[in-house]
Amino acid sequence: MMYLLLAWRNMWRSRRRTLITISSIFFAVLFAIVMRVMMVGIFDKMISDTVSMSCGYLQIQHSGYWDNKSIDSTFEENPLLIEILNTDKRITTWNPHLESFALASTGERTKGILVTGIDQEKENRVSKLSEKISSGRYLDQNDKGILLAEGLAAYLNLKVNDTVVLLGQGYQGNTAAGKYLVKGIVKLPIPQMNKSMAWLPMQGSRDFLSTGARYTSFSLMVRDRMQVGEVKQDLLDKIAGMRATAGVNYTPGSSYTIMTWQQMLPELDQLFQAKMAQNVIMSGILYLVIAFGIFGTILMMLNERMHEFGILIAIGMKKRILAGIVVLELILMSLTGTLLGIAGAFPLVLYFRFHPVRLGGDWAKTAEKFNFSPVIQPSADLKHFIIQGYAVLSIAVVLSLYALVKINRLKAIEAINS
Amino acid sequence: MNTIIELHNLSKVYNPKTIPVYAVNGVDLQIEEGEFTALVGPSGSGKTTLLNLIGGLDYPSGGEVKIEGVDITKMNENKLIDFRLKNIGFVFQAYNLIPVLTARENVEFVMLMQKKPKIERDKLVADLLTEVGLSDKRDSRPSELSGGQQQRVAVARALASKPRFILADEPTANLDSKSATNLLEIMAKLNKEDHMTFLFSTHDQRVIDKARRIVTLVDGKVISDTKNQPH
Amino acid sequence: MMLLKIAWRNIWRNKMRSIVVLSSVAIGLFAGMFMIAFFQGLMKQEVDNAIETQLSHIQVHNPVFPEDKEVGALIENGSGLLEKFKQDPAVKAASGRVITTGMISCASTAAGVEIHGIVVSDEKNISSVTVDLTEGSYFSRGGKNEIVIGKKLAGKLAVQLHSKIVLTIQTKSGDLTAGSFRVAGLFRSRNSSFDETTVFTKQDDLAQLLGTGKEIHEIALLLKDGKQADPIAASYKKQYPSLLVQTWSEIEPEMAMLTGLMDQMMYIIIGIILLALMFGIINTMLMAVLERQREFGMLMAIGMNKVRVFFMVLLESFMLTCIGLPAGILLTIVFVRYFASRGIDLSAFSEALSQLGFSSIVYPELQQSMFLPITLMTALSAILSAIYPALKALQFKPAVAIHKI
Repeated sequence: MMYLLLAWRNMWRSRRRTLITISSIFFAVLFAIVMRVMMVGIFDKMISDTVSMSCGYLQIQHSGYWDNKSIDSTFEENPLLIEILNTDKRITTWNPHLESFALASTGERTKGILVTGIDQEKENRVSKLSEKISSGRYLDQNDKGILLAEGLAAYLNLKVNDTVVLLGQGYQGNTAAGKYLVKGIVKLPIPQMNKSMAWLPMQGSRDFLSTGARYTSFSLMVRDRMQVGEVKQDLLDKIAGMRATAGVNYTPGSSYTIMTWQQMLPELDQLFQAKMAQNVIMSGILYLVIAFGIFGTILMMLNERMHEFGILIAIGMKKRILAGIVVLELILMSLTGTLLGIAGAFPLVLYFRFHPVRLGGDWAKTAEKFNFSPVIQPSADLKHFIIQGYAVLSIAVVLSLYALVKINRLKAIEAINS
Repeated sequence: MNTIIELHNLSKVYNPKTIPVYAVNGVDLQIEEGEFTALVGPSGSGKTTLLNLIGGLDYPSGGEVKIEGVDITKMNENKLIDFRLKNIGFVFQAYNLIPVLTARENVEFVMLMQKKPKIERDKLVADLLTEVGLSDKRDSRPSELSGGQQQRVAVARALASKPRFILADEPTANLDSKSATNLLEIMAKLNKEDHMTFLFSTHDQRVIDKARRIVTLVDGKVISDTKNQPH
Repeated sequence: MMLLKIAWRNIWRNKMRSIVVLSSVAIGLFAGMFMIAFFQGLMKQEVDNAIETQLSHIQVHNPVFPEDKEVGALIENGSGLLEKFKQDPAVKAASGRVITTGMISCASTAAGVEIHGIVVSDEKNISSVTVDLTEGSYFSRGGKNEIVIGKKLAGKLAVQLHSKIVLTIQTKSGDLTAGSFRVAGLFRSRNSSFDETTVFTKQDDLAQLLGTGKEIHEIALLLKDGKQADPIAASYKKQYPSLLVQTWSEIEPEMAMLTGLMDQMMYIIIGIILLALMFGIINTMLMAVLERQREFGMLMAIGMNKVRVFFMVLLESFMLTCIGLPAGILLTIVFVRYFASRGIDLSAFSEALSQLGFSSIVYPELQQSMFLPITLMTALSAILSAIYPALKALQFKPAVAIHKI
């Protein structure tokens, strides 16, 4: 304990020296954190942008639906399920869809499309559909009209207020047919989607397909991407519990599957995994540069105190003890620097969260067309702060051990005369 | 005779706000050209501080330091450095020389900063090194010279800028008898033949014996100022 | 002048300090350059992958074709054009394809697919799918009406090798027709939606069903130098104004977007690395300056003015930087060369990646054009970092410095 006190007081003997050492760790931690949260922020955004435009982080479906996509693989509206979803704080929105393949026809031309029945308010929250309207207007809840994607409308030569006929296969063999007024035209960034999608209000889709209150999927958006796995498991458990108690309301043979985004968008997951691996290498390179910076500072500091060490050894202090105290000082300084670095990174990252870095150039314009906002918004997950702080601290502590080597090799006379 | 250095009510206080320490406490002093004067006193008497103030290495808390009528206490740091370059020579107790330069280059250094032409530099360096008896060591680095030799080069260097006076702070403290005597003889010779003014701060009796004026400081005050017969 | 001499000799006086600063500069440069090499290797890997699997460098179509892939939107004088491209010195390989959309079905399930009718010998030169087979072979048996489908699709349809499936398509004359095909091989690329929606048959077989004769819908070109895709495509556009000539980045802008993102990210990352370098050097030099207090005090005492002291310190840093930079360049060249031949296996860093079963090896590569800017930026950072410590050196009061123990 006394050594700790000695070390602490020793540190403050030369304030300048101590401050310089602490600041080298401080900046190292700062940079490590900033780089990591930025990278993670980019990944998070990449995933959330894609996922909110397509399938959500999780989807609840009737089992067998994903492979089959038949209208018969739908599930009923279930107030118990909805309550489970509403009460789970981790889920920010649940977005119901009733979608099917259909033929859209104007008499002159016909095209196969995907028509999706949406809860227009929930849908808008997730995919911001109403902001993508290029002409006409967004759907109301009880609208009798339809929204068409731009490419589709162009192919069928349709404008707002024109009529389009939909033909498809309804529930349990019913023919699905309907005539709809084009209420609005939506521009989607991805060409494939832009050429083949249409949206009806949920009731409109139900009428078209004669399904009654059934759904093809609930897309779930979560607050924290990392919780996807546990949310899925929890929901499965709760659903199993629900089945046990509910009994009567169940269509015989009906059961739910929950798919994660990784299962639904495997290319995205692959991409993401690759990026994480790359991140490891980039962090490694940063750590290398940081390590040199810290080592330089430590080396110089030891050099500066050679005279002092020489005298201490000459008057009888054991090398081991001296080395121990010096290493302790270094560790204390590293710890201080790390804690300050984590604390300092916080306001910095918060600032960038509210003022994300805008990227520029031609690329930014293209990105905007794709509805990817060309900004980098860092993650504010504390986990990263702590992990990076720990990493730099470890590097610093290992480097501090060099003091042991240097003091051990010290020859008192030479040291005193330096 | 010319008064080179004038001190009026000079004082230097450390820690004025907490526990004031009067290193120099109201000193009045005049040094004339050609003097060979020793500042003596016990440790902590303020000799070094006084020398620092005279040499413009530090600013006083009160009073004036006039070098040939110029009040140096009013100068900013940059001007002081320049003033020192042209007017004051220093010989410290140790660590006088630039370690990476040879003896010759060390002496030449101050002349380079004064932008003296090469011919003048070469001649003066050669002369000075001969005067201090180290011509043969002109290409040695300080690490290759003994303590005494280093001090002698320091004297040569101090002279190279043709200063008004030389301040020497315990110049013999690290030297053995022979080297100390040697150094003193050189300085005495320079004083006699070239009328170079020397002001020492010293403990060393050998230096005190050679001085013609002894100013004694205790607790930052001059308590005696006597003439001495060098022996 | 003298300052230079002193600065130079000062560097060698304290070897440890000089080596540390020098190494920091070298490592900083190495880090920046290696990062770029890594990124460039990365982009190349991702782009090359897409190019080899599906996109190729340049694709030529009838302008109407890409919209809805109508059977009738054929390339005028396609086979003749194909021959011409094969003769073109800039072209490494060319392949002509008949493409149509249709339905693939078997027993209980059906799925929409894009059917590529290819000429095996040409396609082998251009697409890596030909070797990405997990089972079976790429039409090597030479039978009629064979089909190669993605493993994922096979799973969806619940079929295996040698199973029979039916392709339903719309012919050139507008009638619906169907043909029975036998699964000859299963392929697996890195793009699973490609696997799920693309199937391959021999051109003759498909053409027979479609009634398109010898005509083709698509010519895919692999260039000798992929980086020349844009200018070469531009010249083709001029040569064949009636045809749609597109580079891979025009066909799949998402890919170009991804590379654009990585470019920007790269600059930011390098910025951070250089900042870390700067602070590392600043701290090391600050400490060194602290160590040399006495020396600076003495210099100022004997008359060296502040400007000269400043420049002396700065010169020392400058010289160390000048030595450190070539060392860094050397280091970079050695490491990049080493990894460029061996490759860096990313799956070593990601458990999930290695489970995916794809070799994710990145070959770093460094363009000559990058050397100069990065070197300059590093040099600038190093010099800038030296300024603050040099200024600090001036703050020492000579009186304090000299008498410091």
